Amino acid sequence: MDVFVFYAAAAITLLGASMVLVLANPLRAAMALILSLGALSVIYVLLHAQFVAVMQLLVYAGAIIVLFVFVIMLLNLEDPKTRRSWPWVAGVFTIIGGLSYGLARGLMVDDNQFITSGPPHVNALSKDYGTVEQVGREIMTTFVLPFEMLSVLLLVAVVGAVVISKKRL
Amino acid sequence: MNISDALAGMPQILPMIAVIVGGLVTMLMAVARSHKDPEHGQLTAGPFVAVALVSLVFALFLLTQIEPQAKAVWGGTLAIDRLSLVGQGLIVVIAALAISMGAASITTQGIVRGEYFALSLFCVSGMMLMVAATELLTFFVGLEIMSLAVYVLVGFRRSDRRSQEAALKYFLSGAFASAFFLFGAAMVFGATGTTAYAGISTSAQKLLSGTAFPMQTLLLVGATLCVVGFAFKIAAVPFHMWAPDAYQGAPTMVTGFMAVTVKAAAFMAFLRFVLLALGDGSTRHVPWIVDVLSLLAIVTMTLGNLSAVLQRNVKRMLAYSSIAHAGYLLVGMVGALERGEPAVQGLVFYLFVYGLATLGAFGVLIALERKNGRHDEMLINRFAGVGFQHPALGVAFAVFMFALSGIPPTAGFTGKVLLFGPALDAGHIGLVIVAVLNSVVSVYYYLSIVVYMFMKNPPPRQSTEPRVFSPWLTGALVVTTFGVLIVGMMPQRWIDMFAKLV
Repeated sequence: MDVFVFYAAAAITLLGASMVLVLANPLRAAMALILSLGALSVIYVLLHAQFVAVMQLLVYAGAIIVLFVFVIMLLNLEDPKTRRSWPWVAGVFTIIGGLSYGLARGLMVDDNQFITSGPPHVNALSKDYGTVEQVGREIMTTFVLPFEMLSVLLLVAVVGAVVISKKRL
Repeated sequence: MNISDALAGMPQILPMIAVIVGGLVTMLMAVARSHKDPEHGQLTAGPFVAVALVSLVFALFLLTQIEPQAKAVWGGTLAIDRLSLVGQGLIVVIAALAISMGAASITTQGIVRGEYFALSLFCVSGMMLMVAATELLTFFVGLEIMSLAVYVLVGFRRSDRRSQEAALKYFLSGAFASAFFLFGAAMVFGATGTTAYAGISTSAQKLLSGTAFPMQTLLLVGATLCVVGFAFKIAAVPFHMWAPDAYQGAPTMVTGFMAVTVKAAAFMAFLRFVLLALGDGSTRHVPWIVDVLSLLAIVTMTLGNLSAVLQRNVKRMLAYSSIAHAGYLLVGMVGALERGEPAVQGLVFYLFVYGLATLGAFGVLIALERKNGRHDEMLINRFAGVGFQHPALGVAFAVFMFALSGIPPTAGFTGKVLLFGPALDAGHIGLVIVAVLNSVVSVYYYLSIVVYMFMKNPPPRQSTEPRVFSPWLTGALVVTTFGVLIVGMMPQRWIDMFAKLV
């Protein structure tokens, strides 16, 4: 069952990702990205990362895509008739893709173990690992310091954005 | 673990909190000030510098009050060992000097915003977190606080296109570096099941001695990507592309700040990651790490120095010089991996010396910069005869150049001896020979500026416009000049101070 869901989600993820690359209309590409990100969140659920899956939907498939769409609409792109094509870019990405595939194959050298039972860590985890409750507990205990320091990070980002972009200072 | 256990570490982060509070106060002051005089935007830097210095000095005082301990606090995310305390202290001291130097040009360089001080202080708090972090997530938060603040500081002179360009380049390459690091960290977590350095170390030992092939590959690829992320931040070749443009385009005061503090923070965090997670001399888990670091060191030193020789722009030359110094420091890191404690001392000592000398050099550039420096190219022939027009600045600059090239009696010589010694002990003779040859090459370009200053006549048309006198800048220059000389002449006291680091 898990294996079937995984293959279905992975296929949809890859389909969405390739549509992002192929589609000429940027808005359609953004929609295809939603498909890819949504299917990716299913894979997260399979990996015991329920919290990450929810965040993936809320933040990436939700907020970030909205931002993308806004930017695309604000830029008011022309119909891309005179698109330049870079054959070498395709070449470079083919090589990168091939290398990552090779790496993935290398990682899964023991095919049966990996595909039928998943990575060993994931199987050793307790059932509620990765739930919102567990993640929240970790954030408020072990990782409370980095969590609180994130507020400084956000403050720096806000102040920096204003300093860099405000018209009249 | 529950929340009260975590809060037991509160006293240990008070220095960081002091710096953050200083940042908040300067930020609010900046808002209040801008309401007073929105038209001219004139800003007197004095109160800002005073607040920043008070918070930094107070943080330093708090740091001296903390007892070093072997056990990490805050649920194992933060180390309070001597390396962490001395590292944080080093960053605080150097940041205090850098901020004092910046005060002189805050009004002359068209940077009239008090947020400069707030961002600098937040940046320092991020660096302190980086240096103390013993865990990938905490380190990454510190890294991002530091990086975001520095990106903005580089682009602070908004009217200057070059400053904008530098900020954008630095931001994009920095974002790549962060992505590399994060990807690597995720892989390491996937292979070991933990983000704490200690846990990674034990887990790595188990994995690499066993035959769990897939997880081994995952761990090694992840560790490599993490090292790439660090190499970006310390500007080691071939990940140095951003450095010359960012250093040249940034306002000079920001260049001085980032050349020193960012490198020091990234290096000490790198050291901790390599020593604790990847294993030191006795328990080295990743066998090729020494070879990789040696190779990185050789390429970085050689390319940095050879490119510096070709530069006509002094800021760019100092950028390549700082790349070359990253190479020297990597030699020290090889020594630290092989020899442990004494080499770590030497490395931190050299970071201190490099910090004083580089900061001093940029301080002299700030003092010589014309009003609205965007038209000031800082080419080398612009320094012709400066040694006679401003003898004190000329002499100070010569001292810094001697220190950077490692000529006694400045601290640069002692520093290099302590830095290269352990690597030599451990039998990396070829590496040390390359490092020393590189130091010889570096003498050429360091001294060429001094030659221009003292042995060439100034161009006839050069207007000697009065410089803006700033007590803060003068004070910081005096401290750095005498610091370089005193540390060089009686190094033992200072070496003792850095002793017993790990």
